[in-house]
Order: sequence, then structure tokens, then C-alpha cells
Amino acid sequence: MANYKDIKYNFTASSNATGVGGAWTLIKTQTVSTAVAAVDFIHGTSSVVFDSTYEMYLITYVMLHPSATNPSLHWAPGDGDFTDDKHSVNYILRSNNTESDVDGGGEPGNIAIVVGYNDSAHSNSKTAAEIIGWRVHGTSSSVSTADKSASGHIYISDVGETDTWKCFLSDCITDGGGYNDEMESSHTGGFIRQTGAIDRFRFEFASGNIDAGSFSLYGLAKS
Amino acid sequence: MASYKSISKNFTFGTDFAGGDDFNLISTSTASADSVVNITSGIDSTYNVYKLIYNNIHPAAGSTLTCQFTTDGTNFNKEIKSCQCNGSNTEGGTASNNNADLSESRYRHTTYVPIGYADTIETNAESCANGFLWLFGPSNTTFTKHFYCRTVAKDDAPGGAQSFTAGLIETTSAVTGISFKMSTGNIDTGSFKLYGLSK
Repeated sequence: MANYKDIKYNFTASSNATGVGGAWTLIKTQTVSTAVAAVDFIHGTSSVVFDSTYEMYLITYVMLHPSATNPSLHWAPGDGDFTDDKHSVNYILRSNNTESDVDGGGEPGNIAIVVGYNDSAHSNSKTAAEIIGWRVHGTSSSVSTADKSASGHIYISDVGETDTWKCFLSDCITDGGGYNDEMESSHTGGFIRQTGAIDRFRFEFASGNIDAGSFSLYGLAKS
Repeated sequence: MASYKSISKNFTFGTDFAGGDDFNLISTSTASADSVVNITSGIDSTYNVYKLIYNNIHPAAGSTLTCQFTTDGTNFNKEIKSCQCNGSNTEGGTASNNNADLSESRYRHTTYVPIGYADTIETNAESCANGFLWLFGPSNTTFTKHFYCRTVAKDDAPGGAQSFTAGLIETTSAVTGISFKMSTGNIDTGSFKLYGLSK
């Protein structure tokens, strides 16, 4: 049995603890268990911190399942609303099944891959939500979609800064099972054309609800 | 002589101290002429998101870095759909762009998946591969699992190469482990650090 001397400094710090040297802090997690149209993170609401407190923010989302057939996943940052002007470039990796044997690996299935810039997902002074995930398979009358979802993360820096535009980097992996049993990842780099601080962001699908999934917001300490 | 007051807060956190950072280091696995490096503990429902950082992976033979996953702790053979793009630049300044690299991508293969492209990672003493792998929701038993990697390596052109690999693990069972190995030969040296993000 351990004695007190050996274990007295083994403990988990409170979420309110400061000065213990941590770089990344979990700020807020939201889990969707009942379908919702959107998930919002707003500074000052429900313990969300999204301002100049941290140098950079990391947003993770895990296994988002849509109620609609194959909607894209959208992310909308803003200040006061969710319509800040965005400019971005989107790049995709896609692996799916074809009937031609181009794989030759002796394993089940054949493969066709597509890699390149996704002109349909770039933003150019766009105030509507940003496309960060492409064709998440939600429902289908022909194939099972119960196990399909999307996961990924977004880095965004200096949201409290008031001199410069805000840059973000996004990586999203989606399961588009009904589209030739497809795996697709979307990689987006862009900026929010807003010199003022931004204080919120929203996730939603292009159509229908978010049936399931979780979202977490982390902050990177300034020092 | 120091007063009690001045030294009373001087202490080192215990090895099981779990506070301060929500990027939690779970384990470090160090390779030493190993054919495989298997990480079969610490991947569970404690975290939703894991990040695995591989540092200075040096191969015994010219080869590429690969990985696979397990749901039973023993058999690393899950069906994977993956896609990789990569590019390299020789020391002579000749760049190549393998935008859609079929040879490094997989459709429902159960073999190890390439995640660290180089024509082959060079075996010179200074050559190695570094990168990271994100794994999302491994303990979820409703959905298939997602991963994403980025790797940079010194190849035998000689030059440098980087690769982006994204994939799906086609199982609704909980993924409990990940394995790394070279496409040929041993992993001579290198470390694999597993982190979990608090949820």
C-alpha cells in the first residue's frame, strides 16, 4: 500500500486551477444526443471562453451524424452573429470503390482515388457558413448509413485580436458510404476578413439536423 | 538558511499528477530494433480524441512507415479505406508531386496502411521520419472510426518528402490499439507518444 508521502502530489487539478503549467485547457464540451439544427459556442454563454484569453483555440468534433442524406458539414464564425466574411481554399483526398481493378492488392474491393483542390468548397468573401466537410452520409434507402459520420478539428488563432484578420486551419474526415463506399477528407485553410474580435462559432449541416456527435473547445495558454 | 515560508511551495508533482494540461500524455513507446511497435493500452473511452506523435523514426532498411489498428488487442487487421497525397524534393532541387498516389492508398485492405511516404526512408544515420496521427472516437461502438496523419521523412533520392493520409477504420467495434511497423525491416529507433484530449 502506498504511503501518504509517495502519493500526496498525485492529484487532478480543478478546471479552475491556474498556474500549474498546462499549455492546453479544455474549455467546453457539447454532446448531441437529441437532434439539433446547430451547435453554437458563444463567448460568455454556458462557460464558453472565446476571446483574447488564449493565444489559439482548437475545436474538435467527433462522429457527427446527419439526419439528411449526404449534406456537407458547415462551420460559421462571427461576432454578434454567424455571418463574418470568409476567404478559403479547400483540398480533398477521396478513396472509393470502382468496378475497375486498379488496386491489385489481393484484398476485397477496388480503389479509385481523387486528390485535389475542391473548387466547389472554396470561399470567396463568403458570409454563408464555411464548408469544412464534404458529403457526410446520413440516410439512404439503398445502403446502411447508421455507422457513417464525420470527425475532425479546426485551429483558429488570435480571435480576440483587433488589428488583423483571423486565420483558421481545418481537417475533416467523412464517411460517404453511399457514394461508392467513399472515404473523403477535406483540408481547408482560410481567414475571416474581420479585424475586430470574433466571439462565436456554429456547426451545422447544409440540410437537416445533427443527430449525434460531440464538440470540444480548447485554449492554448499565452505563456 | 531558507525559511519554511520561502520553501513551503517548492515541490515536484507526483508521477501520477494529472492536472495542468488537457493534452494528457498517456504513454511513450521507444523502439529499439523492433519489428513492430504496438500500443495496446490507454486507448479507451477516457478520451474522444487521441493524438499520437512519432519522433525520429529510423528504419533498419529502406522502407516506408505503416500502421494498423486492433479491436481485440492482438490482431492488427481492420479493414481500412485510406487516401494519401505526397510530394518530395531532392537535394538537387527536383520536386515531384504525387497528388493522387494510388500505390500508397487503400480500399478496405486489412494490411498495414502507408502513412509515411518517401520512395524509401533512407537508412543513413541522420535520416528519419516524424509526424502525427489523430484518431477520433476509438471507443465508439456505433460509427466507423476516422484517422488523419501528416508525416515528413528523409528519403533516399536523397531529399525530403511529406505526406498527408486520411482514412476510415471500417468497424463499429471499439478500437483499442494501434501498431506501427516499417514496410520492410525493423524500426531501429524512435519514439511514439500517445496523448488524449480531455473531454
